[in-house]
Amino acid sequence: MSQTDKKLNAFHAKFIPSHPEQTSLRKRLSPTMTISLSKMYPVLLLLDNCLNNILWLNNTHYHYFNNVILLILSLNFLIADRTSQSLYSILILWVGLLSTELLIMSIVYYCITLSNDLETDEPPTLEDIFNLIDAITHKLHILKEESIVSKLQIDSKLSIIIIVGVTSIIQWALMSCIAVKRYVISYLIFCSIYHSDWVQATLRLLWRSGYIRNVIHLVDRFKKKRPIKSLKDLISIQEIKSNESRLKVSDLEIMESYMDIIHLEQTDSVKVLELTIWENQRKWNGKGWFTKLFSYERGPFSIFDAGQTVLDCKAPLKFEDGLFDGWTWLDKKWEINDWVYFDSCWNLVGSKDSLQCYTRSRKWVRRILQLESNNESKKNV
Amino acid sequence: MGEQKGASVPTQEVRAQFIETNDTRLGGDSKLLFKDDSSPLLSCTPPNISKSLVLLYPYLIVLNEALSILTWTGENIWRSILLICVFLASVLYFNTIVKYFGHIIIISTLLGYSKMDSFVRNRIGNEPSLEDIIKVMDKVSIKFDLLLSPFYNFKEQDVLRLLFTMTVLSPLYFIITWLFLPPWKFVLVGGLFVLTYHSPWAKVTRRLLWKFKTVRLLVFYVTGLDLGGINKDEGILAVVHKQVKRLSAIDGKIIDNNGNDLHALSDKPIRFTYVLYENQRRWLGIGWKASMLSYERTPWTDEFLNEAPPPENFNLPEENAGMVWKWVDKSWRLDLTNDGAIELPSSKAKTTADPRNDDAFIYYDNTWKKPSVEDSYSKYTRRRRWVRTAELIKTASFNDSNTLKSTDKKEEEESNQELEPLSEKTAIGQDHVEYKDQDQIFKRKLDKTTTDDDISVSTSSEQNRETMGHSTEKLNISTGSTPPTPVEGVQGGPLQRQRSTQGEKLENWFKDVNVEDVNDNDKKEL
Repeated sequence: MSQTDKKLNAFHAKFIPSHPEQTSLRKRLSPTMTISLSKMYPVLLLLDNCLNNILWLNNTHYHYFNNVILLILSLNFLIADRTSQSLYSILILWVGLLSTELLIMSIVYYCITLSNDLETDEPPTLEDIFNLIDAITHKLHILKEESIVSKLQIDSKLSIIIIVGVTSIIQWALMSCIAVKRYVISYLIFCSIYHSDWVQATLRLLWRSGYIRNVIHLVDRFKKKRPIKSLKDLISIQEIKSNESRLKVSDLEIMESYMDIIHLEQTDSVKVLELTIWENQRKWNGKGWFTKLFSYERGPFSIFDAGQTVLDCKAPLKFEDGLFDGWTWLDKKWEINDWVYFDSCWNLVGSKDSLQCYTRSRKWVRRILQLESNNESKKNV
Repeated sequence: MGEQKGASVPTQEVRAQFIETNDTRLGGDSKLLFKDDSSPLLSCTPPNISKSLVLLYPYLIVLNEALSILTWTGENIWRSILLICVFLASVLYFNTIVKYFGHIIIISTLLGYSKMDSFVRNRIGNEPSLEDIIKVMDKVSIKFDLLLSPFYNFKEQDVLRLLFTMTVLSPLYFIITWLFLPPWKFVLVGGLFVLTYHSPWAKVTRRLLWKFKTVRLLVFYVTGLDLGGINKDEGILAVVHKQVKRLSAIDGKIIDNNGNDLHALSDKPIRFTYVLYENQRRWLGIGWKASMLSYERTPWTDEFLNEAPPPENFNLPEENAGMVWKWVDKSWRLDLTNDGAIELPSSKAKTTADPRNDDAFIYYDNTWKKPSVEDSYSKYTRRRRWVRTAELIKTASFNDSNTLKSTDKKEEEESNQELEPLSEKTAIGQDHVEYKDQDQIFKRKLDKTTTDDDISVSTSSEQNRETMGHSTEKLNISTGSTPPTPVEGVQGGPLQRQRSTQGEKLENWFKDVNVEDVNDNDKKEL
């Protein structure tokens, strides 16, 4: 399900999803549902039109341009400061008044024609309604995908505080050189054209620059925790994460060389821990997969702690010789799994590379074991 | 989602073991799932459709919340009030807020959006039942209708007209905003009006204000839109106009269907009895005066209490498409029966052209209730009824059909003078059909002459309904509309049975007209 959805969105396909069983819809649906669906139809139409306006989805772009210009002019009128008395400024204000009227009237006119058309036209079929519903949900999905929020990832208090702090400085700087009116107008212009094709294309181009990514992900960089250097830290984190597993010696398929040690220590239960380290890579344009990653995101090697947050760590091979406290490697070497592919924000895509995939990870797994009695005897000593 | 559940049901039923179904399920809120299984809706809904509904559901919840705030239908009215407060504050302190907290507003909208997004994701994860979704859909559509209800009174032309007047008057508005009312105040008032439009207080206030004529006039002059009660010819003439339209439409249909025979019928003029009510109020120390209180009905009204012009200024409406109105009666005649309220001896005339000052009034108390024929100390208002018949003639067929008719008419009019005292006879000759509306508010009488195919319609109002007697008694055909060959001695009853099919059709149509009129009227009142 999710994959097909994503594909649709990625190509901005036409919003006509296929309903295979369309022919007998009316017979199959219960009347209560049909009634409430038909009542919903005007609401859906209005919603759809709103979304079209926001997303600039119709081909009549001049229409949206008109709207933006009208918006600017009317804002110019509504936030008038009446400082200048020149004929030109008065003229502009008058035009602003007219465009305010025109904007309001066009909205009212739309609502009226909508209700009138619904009365006079023939009622919609259930297929129409469902196509409309699907279109709306897809459009809402696009709205979400394209919005800044999905990239910023404001989730914790810390990030909010950091963002507020940074933007306060920008605000102060802006306010010292720009009037309130211009500030509001430019902000609203930005909002209204944000989802147009041109802006989105430009944003995508900008997104290719590493500097801009670093700026946008400033917060993430602040949130980044200290990397894990020693095996001790690694083990303690993994211990918290995995439920402590005590295994009977007899259950273990332990290499024979260790059997000797265990027998020597006269224990029948040992603590076994599975160390998992992720190796991360990113796809770079034209070059292929490299271990080079952005400074704000996870490093070349990372682990997940109990709260599923990512912590950087050293390469697995560097942990080889930090054994302490009776911990011994159970496996001979790190077992390396296949690559798993993610999109640019480390959301899982699948096990195969595709156009959507920009990052990939693979698991390094090695088990480690602690001889219990050894530990105790040391304590006793 | 749907398929999985559908598949899991039969296997358990086959086993017929009373195992806790929860154990066999993987993940999710098992209670909710179980409820789903028993839902008859789910079993009959194709899975792809329930999927798209489930995806829409969270947005519907958000929409529902927003609509209930805007339409003041939420359980908690304080949210709407809070919205108004926020709006007021943001308009009043716009500059300050933007200057110092602009970035915070932007961030909080982004935050709100992401909150909504996570809410949406949660809701989809919760797997709502189809019944829930339908319930929310119903709520949303009802609230949406409520929200858009003010628009339903307008038509497309109205908006264009409004736009036109606003454009023409925009220099005036501009000067006003420049000198007295700065735009932000305008926004404040406008926004407040929109936000509180559906609040109970605003509704009551609007209702009260609308009763004052000055307010209506003000609205008319500001917007250029006639929202009822301003245009002098609005009430009665609009009603007539509508009916004429209907009738002409009917004519056209008949011609189309049946050819020449009925074509001849449709050329006959349509008669319509215009009814005006003269209202008066008793002023202490002065006596009966036509001046009324500003919130109540005007001195002259039609049956629906719409304002109407006084008889001397009453002009017949102009019809397009080759139709012309012509008076049949010479002058307005006072209805002495006052809608059949007064039983007159048969020798007396039913109507008169030159009544005395206090003739044929029906007296009411201060609030136009408790009608009686007698004046007394508790009566403060009174009214009487004037009627005049007009006919609608097709000018296209005027020449060929009217040469004969005009001579007929002269004779008729002469005979009318003689017949006048005996107008009851004319009543007998005609077929009176009375209609009662389903809502029992208004009655309309359709007089159809079997010989002439003339149709004269008149209406009577609610107040007089109870006082009216038998249908044959309360004629309101004008004296001028005497058919050329009255069928004497035949009561209305038998003739009713002889009514042509066309008459029955007309009857139905008039019923429709009636209902519509009532609705229109109600709308205007609102």
